[in-house]
Amino acid sequence: MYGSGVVSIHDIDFSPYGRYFDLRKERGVKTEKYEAYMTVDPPVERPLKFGMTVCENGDAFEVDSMERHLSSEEVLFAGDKPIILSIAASDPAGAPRAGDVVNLLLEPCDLVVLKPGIWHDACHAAAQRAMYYFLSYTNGDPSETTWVPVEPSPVQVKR
Amino acid sequence: MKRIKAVHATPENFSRFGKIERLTDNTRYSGEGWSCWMTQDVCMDQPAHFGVTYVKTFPPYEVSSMERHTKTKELMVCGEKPIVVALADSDPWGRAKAGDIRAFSLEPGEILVINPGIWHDACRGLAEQTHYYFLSLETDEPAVFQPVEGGAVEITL
Repeated sequence: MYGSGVVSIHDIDFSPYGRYFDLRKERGVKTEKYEAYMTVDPPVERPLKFGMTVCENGDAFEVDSMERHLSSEEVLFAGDKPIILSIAASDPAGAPRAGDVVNLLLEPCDLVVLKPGIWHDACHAAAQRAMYYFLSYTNGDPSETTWVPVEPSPVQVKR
Repeated sequence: MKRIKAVHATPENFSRFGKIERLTDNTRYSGEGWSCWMTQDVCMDQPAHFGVTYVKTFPPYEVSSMERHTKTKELMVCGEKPIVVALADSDPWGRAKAGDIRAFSLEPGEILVINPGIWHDACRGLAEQTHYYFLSLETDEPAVFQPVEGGAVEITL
């Protein structure tokens, strides 16, 4: 069993995996009553379907399988609570490799766009339960949403 | 001051303003400890800019001005806590009228897409501080809040 820690998305170079937006650093306004931020450019170049995931998996967890989409980028952002995104830049035509798995802590106002082909697990709650949203639009090929076992063995994520 | 009670948005009561979709009405996919749902089609017609607001106020609150975008829809979705939004379908080329204002609450997993030209205020939390998210296009039309015709209204629960 492989072991892997969790790092803040602020502390890594995300460019091998896609694009990262710290929304607080985009244009915005901050007042006593609200803070609002908006990206300068659209994060993706085509409209996507909109999805939501509810995860009740915030305790210690293992990453045993991942999926990747060759036909679509995937946008991910937390609702109100932090989430952990596990990804791997392994060969998209092969299987996710345990040694490639990186676990990233995303907080509200963090927005990521995964490149096509980046392996990813469903996100996990940083604590107990959380929900998050995602946008993608795959071409419907079954392989686009097939969960592939992590090789050579699952990754135990240390908190 | 005119008081407007927020009601939960439904496809029926929201049709004048746009569309509401409850993600959990779609097929559920699940794995160990998670479930997800997804719209059947794209949520916006064109690539949109992405916005987030952390709002610190909630009803009762006053709406004294609104904005509208005649060239883009706007998608709104809350984080893990419900939100309230005030809308008016008054003439987009005039001003939002106090008598036209309605207020809707939105639960997590419900997506509002308001039609171009619908007057709207910033969303608020239903009962506490929260994040909400929005998607809209950026056009050559400035986003300007304009005073509500007929005076401010109060949004209540």
